[in-house]
Amino acid sequence: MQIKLFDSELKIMEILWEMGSATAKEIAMILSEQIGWSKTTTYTVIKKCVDKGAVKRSENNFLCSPLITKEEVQQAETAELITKMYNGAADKLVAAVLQNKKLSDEAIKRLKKIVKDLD
Amino acid sequence: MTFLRMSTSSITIIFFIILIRLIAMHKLPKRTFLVLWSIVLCRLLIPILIPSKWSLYTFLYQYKKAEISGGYSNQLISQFTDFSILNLFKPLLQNPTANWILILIWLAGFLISTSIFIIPYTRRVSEYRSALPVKNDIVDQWLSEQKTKVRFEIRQSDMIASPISYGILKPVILLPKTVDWSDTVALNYILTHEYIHIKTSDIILKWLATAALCIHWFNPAVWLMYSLVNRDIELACDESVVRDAGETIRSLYALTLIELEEKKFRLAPLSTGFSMSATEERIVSIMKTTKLKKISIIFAVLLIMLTSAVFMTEASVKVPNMIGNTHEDMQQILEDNNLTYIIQGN
Repeated sequence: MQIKLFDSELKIMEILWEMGSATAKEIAMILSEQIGWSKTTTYTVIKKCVDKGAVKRSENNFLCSPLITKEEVQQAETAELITKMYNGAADKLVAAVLQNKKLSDEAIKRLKKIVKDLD
Repeated sequence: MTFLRMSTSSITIIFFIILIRLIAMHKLPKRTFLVLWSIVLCRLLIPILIPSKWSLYTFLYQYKKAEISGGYSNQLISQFTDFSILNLFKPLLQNPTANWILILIWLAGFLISTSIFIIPYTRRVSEYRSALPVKNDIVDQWLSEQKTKVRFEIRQSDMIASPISYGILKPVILLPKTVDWSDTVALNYILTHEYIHIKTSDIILKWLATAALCIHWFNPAVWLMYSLVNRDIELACDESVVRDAGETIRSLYALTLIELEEKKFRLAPLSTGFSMSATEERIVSIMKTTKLKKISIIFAVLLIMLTSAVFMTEASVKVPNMIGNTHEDMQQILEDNNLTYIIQGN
């Protein structure tokens, strides 16, 4: 299965792809300078990468190395998390989306009309 | 007893504000409502009671007193209260075991409500912290136009669907990655809107309202207040944005808001939190925003003063000098009448 990473996680990967491998501390220092992340934040994101199987982290000195290449990574989308909830019942998912879409289209139309009337 | 009194007396004022909101929503500066809600929050969070002869409760007490024929008698004290709800609790509170059970129930409710808010919040903040910096001409242009001493950052995240501002000491405006980075109007609206939230410390008000909600979790009027406070914060913010930019921008901003709602829906098509009535209220409010008129300010100030004096105070009543009444008798009189202070007179 493809590993999907968010932008924050991709940032960690970028550092590792460039450097080959680095300790968590080194990564934290670089990112603190580059984008102003606190140490805690960097460590949290590294852990997410480890949990997703994208990074290998050694026990003793927290040396991190990438487990996947740039080509193997896919951009994660928030919307996908919701699809998981429907467990592959595709027709149920489509029906729910269509119904919501119809409701929202009507609502949007009504709102635009209000703007026009009150202008 | 004081705690329950704080809670039940807030019910009157909450409904009073709701009434004003229904009648004069668009005729008063929206920030008025935030001040009014703050008054309620004082009532809910601060256990200090101030007696005043203009108090609603002084009036209620006198009114009830008149019903007793033969005037005041320290034996024939009729039970009066702002709401008979409070009297329902009296017998319970007199029983020590029941008292303890009530306290435990309250504690459980309090812990549950607090978790409901704190747990998702800590998760979200952890996500926000891993946002990335923004490099964009329109954003830079907007930044350079702000004359402000408030230091804040602008960042972007691919984990959020709509813009948000957070942080009290180090405020951050967080933009969703999916925003249209070339749309000058939308970006200006979003940035100004979030910036005003930061400037007016709306987040502090939100926290106080949440605290009040967790403490008074058993009071449905407080839940109502909570949802209205959040709505009114947005309305006051929208009003500031439009007033800042000029009335002619109204429809442009309203349409931008609709666009953003549409986008939010597209990103999360199953989100049941697609709150149409709140958005509609915002659109109508934006379109009806006009220049601040002196008379509106006068009305607003009067309303706030009136509300504080009438609702936020306690009954201040004179009772005939009762020679021979012991301290216990006086305490009993206070309790039976839900009074806090008695000013003795002739």
